[in-house]
Amino acid sequence: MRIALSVFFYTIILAVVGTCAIIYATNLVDFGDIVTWAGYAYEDIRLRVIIGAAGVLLILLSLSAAQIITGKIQREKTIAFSNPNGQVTVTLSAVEDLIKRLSCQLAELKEAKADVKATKKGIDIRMRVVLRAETSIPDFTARLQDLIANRIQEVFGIDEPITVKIHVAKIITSDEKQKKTKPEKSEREEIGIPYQGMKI
Amino acid sequence: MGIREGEKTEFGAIKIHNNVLASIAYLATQEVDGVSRICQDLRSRLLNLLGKKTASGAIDVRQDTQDDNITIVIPLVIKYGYNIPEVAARVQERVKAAVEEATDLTPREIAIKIKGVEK
Repeated sequence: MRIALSVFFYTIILAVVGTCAIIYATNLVDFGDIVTWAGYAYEDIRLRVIIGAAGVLLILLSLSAAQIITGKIQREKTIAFSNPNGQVTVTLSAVEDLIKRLSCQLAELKEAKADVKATKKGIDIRMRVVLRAETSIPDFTARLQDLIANRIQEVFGIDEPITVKIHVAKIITSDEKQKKTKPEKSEREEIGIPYQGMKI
Repeated sequence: MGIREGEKTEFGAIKIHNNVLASIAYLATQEVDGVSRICQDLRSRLLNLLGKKTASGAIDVRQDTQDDNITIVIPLVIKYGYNIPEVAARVQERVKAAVEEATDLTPREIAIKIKGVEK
């Protein structure tokens, strides 16, 4: 019901904006009349207060509607299990958080992004990683797959099969690392400290 | 959120607002080891800005209109390194005990929503 209302709110707003655009484009209302109305509203303090209050109300409504819609989207993407005292749901973004934190611990990884999907067959994890050049890719990816699958099963208590697909997007060499760090050093050298080395 | 009709004493009725249950759940949840924080929603942020003293985060207390049962929904962020089912079970037990102790009411369900993992 709340989602339907939120969608209805956005539909009405977009319809009003669309209608205004059509009216403007087809010259249905004289531009002079609009200016006159706007001038009349600007001179009347009460009308300005009402318009301002309506603006604040619309902003609050739009924020609330956005939260309801995004909240529902998040709610749909969850892993659930039941305890005697009630249900526990884990959002897939929490699983992604955990994978990110796990990845940070590995020195061979420069960057990692994870996309988690819960399917009927189990949990499907797709990772996009940036590795350092000295890393043995087959060994490392196998180790990463094992680590993630085991850790997720251990932390979330999930019995369903977990598949971890890894896509190595980039390999960073030590030269690239140096290139990235060098300009910072030169920038630092360029910045002169006033009266440096002067003795009083 | 409504006001729960409690027992009647010789001086009058005692009513417990659902916000009170939410605050009890909030404080009890924070005591559990492994809980990083309780999520906030727009409403709770606005209330905090307006100077609401007792925090309850985005904890939602739902009351069944037919049988008067309570369901408490707690959105959480868990600390990295903790076992999530264990922490969730501990939160459910702790909240149930705290609500029973403070209000003599037994929640039918305490639903936990894990929204994230952080250090």
